[in-house]
Amino acid sequence: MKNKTWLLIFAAVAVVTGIAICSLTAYVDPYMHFHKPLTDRFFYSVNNQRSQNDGIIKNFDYDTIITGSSMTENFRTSEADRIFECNSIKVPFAGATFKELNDNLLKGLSTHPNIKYIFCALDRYRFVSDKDSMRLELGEYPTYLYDSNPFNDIKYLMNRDVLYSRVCYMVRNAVVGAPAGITSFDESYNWMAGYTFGPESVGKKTFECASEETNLTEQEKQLIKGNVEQNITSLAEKYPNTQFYFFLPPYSAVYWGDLKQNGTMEEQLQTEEYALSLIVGHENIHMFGWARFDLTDDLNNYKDPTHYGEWVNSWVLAQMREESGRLTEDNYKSYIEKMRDHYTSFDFNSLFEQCDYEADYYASGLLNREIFGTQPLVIDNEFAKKAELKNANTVLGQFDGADGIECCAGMPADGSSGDPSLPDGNYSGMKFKIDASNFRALTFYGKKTAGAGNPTINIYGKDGKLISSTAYADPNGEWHQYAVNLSGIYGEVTVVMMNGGKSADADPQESACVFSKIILY
Amino acid sequence: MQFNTFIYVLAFLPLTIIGYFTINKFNYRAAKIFLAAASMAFYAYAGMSGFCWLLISMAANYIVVLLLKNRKKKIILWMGIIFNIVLLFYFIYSNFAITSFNDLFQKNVTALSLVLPVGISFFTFQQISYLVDTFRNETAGNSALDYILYVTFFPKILMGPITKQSELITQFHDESKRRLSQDNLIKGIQMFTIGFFKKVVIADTFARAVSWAWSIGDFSKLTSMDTFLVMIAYAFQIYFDFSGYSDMAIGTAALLNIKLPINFDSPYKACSIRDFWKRWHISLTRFLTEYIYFPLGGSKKGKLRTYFNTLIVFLISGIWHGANWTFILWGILNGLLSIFDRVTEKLRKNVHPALQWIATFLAVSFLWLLFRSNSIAEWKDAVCSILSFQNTAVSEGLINCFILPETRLLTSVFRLETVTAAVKGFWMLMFYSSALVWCLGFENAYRMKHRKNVFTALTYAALFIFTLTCIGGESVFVYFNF
Repeated sequence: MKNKTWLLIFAAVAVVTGIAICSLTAYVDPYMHFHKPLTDRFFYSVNNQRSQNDGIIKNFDYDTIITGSSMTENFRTSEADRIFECNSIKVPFAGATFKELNDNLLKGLSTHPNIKYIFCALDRYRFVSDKDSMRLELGEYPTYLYDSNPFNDIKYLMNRDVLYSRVCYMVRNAVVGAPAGITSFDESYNWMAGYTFGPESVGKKTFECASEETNLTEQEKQLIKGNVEQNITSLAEKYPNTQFYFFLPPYSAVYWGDLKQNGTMEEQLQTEEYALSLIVGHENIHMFGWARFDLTDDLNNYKDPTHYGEWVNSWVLAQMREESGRLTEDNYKSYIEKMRDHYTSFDFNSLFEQCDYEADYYASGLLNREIFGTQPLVIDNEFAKKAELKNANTVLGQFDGADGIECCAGMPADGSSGDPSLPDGNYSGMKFKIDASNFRALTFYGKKTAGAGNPTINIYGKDGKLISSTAYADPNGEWHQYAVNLSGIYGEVTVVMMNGGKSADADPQESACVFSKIILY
Repeated sequence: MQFNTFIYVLAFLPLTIIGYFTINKFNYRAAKIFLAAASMAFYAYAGMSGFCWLLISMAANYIVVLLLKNRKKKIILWMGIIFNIVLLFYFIYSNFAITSFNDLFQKNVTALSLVLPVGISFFTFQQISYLVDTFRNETAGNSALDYILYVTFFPKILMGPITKQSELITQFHDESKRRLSQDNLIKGIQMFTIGFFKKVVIADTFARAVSWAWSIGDFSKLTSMDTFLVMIAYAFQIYFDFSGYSDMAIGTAALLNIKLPINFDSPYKACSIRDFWKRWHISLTRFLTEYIYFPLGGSKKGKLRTYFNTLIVFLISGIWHGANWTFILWGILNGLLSIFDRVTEKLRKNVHPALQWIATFLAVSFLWLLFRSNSIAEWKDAVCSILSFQNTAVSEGLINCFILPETRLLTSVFRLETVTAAVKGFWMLMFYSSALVWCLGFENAYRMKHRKNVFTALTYAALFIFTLTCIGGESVFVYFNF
């Protein structure tokens, strides 16, 4: 073969293949860097904040941004949209510095000049840091996505993870007709499923008070000033028509106990007081901080000293809507004083004496009265009269003397928990309809009474589709507390509380369970 | 600038080739200036502080060259050599000397904050060789521009091959090499693509396994089999990485019509340590032989002197490779094994070659483990872990290092799920066996005949583009605790 021919074939194949790969990546665009997601053709998994948030900020249609650190990952945009009547996106950055948040908000505001609301968590421990600090120790930022240089986009267009782990699968799934769409902002980055809550999860410890407290230094004040002015207030000044809802995340008492033990609590309070003095004077900044010790001293709301359950995110939204806890020039000092008073004399060691709820979402239910103003609905025998019972009957004097539902038979395998045809099929339990919009949790006590008894809750939408299915394995046949999370479920739903324990036949000796003290919060 | 980057492959390299040959059409001197400028830009891309030190080193050395051209005095040559060695020691060994001093005398001298100029070991050795050649009156016709281009020539400045001035500058003077050669373009493309693939796809995958082991940081937490496999992984990583880089350097130079010397000649085919060192990093071995071993007397002054000279050369090689006691011990052990090799040369004639190969490969691998270890104690732990052979299980963590986006896709596309489920560590096995076959079953890339047919054109194009897609990955933030 002639040299020229060889070179021509090589060059042609390399160039055509290279361009084809780049074009395919740009078309599918899993990071949504070039255009809006093609949700009618491909399914977009939203699971890489540093790579995808930039594209979401640039290319989505929205009028509200929810951002911040992991403190904001559990927000549900559906809830924010409902409460604030807006169209929001959620772009959290785990471990973010204020600089990183500001840079991304700036991009959002410059590409979407009519933004109504910004909701952003300001982690208390981030005030004292350089105004330009970034979390370089956590990984390499894909800056080629953030800048306006088109040439370095090659790092995205020819990227082994993007191409072989995203684009190829997205195309293949589209070809075989798999459902298209995108991870919802309610689900994206929500870490609730991975953790348990309560004093045990937070980690029991013994607190000792430090002999001396440190104070804020002039040098630290300069850092705070630079950080706040560059990354918090400058944006609000630049965009006066946008309302900025900043909040100090309600960390648990254990966080404050740790500070007190280290002798840095006073310094932290002085930090916050100084930072707030720089923020609260801005008209379009709604700065929130809550001295709600009933919430922060209850470790059932936390998985560790700082991270709270998603019901606290809902509570934060509700509080902000009500302007409750807003810090102004008139009250921010008294807020700091309240915090100081409470934690100076607080017995931190008493934190671990409190009850640890067996069902984490019970805490969610308890808080709902404040979030949605909903009164709890007790599902007792009176209520059961209006519900449909199949292979089940009401019983008296069950857990704590409350009424109960006895599910007398285990269903054959095809009639068990996951069957989407259940609302109209056979089951062993109780079925009822409710409007779930203003409820957050269905709590109950349950136990198996025979064989493979397995308290199970299925929730179906108005169209009969299964929305949620939860089966609780009963390890020992004793009463256990359970709670089904209802947040994010709106409108009329059908709830089936049944014995999901599979059995070869319907003999009640093989499988049965009891529900008691059923309350919708 | 690294070879395995988009900016190099898609911008710097094509623009430099086009620029060099286009300017060459009009003015050869201007083309050389362009190439020297491009080479300096290539080097400066890694950091300006290192670039400044390169300029300082070049200026100082060229002053010595000018002095030597006027007066061939040994004292001038030694001054030049000492300057280079001092500079090298300052950057590489200062902090090692400080920590050793602190350890020895229980002191607390603060370490220096130094930014190591990349490739300093290479350009320093090359300049020493230039000084010696000048002293030997072998550089008479060279200009200052020749000198600059010889030192900075970008394909070899960072990691070699260490090239003699006589074999590089004569090529720049060769008029026949000033026009684009299709033959060399094909050779260069094929050589570069092979090296590119070796580095990005093979070496970097084995590097994941090695990083996994060192991220655990304690060999007592690894099984014996894990440690053994990691040792072999490192042997493959260092070979495919370094030889891949050399192939890319040689390929790049070929695109510019420059032939660089061979640096790796299938070293894992060696059946003895001396054979291995004739095949591994050949340009360094050649430098050490020519500029240290021979001046010390080589093998012409009796057996004991030969052994001593061998030991000295390997000790210097160890010191050159890095600032740690591990490198010094690595050099000494290589020297001792080479001496053992000489002593037992006749005895080994009747030993089956397969046995000799296994012994050589294992010895080299154990020494690479020392080369990679952070301390001699760490190496001892690793060796003990292997030799104790207490646990032959392979950890999931190690197996997972070989599960890549491409292997996952291949598993899915070719429905290999049953195979990967049935064979534990299927992809790991594939990588190890492919690497072994590559090392033993094929002709070395440098010697390989560069075939020109449709199949090779398509294969190299596919390999090139595939490797290009494997350069970068997704940015993942490690933030377990938020």
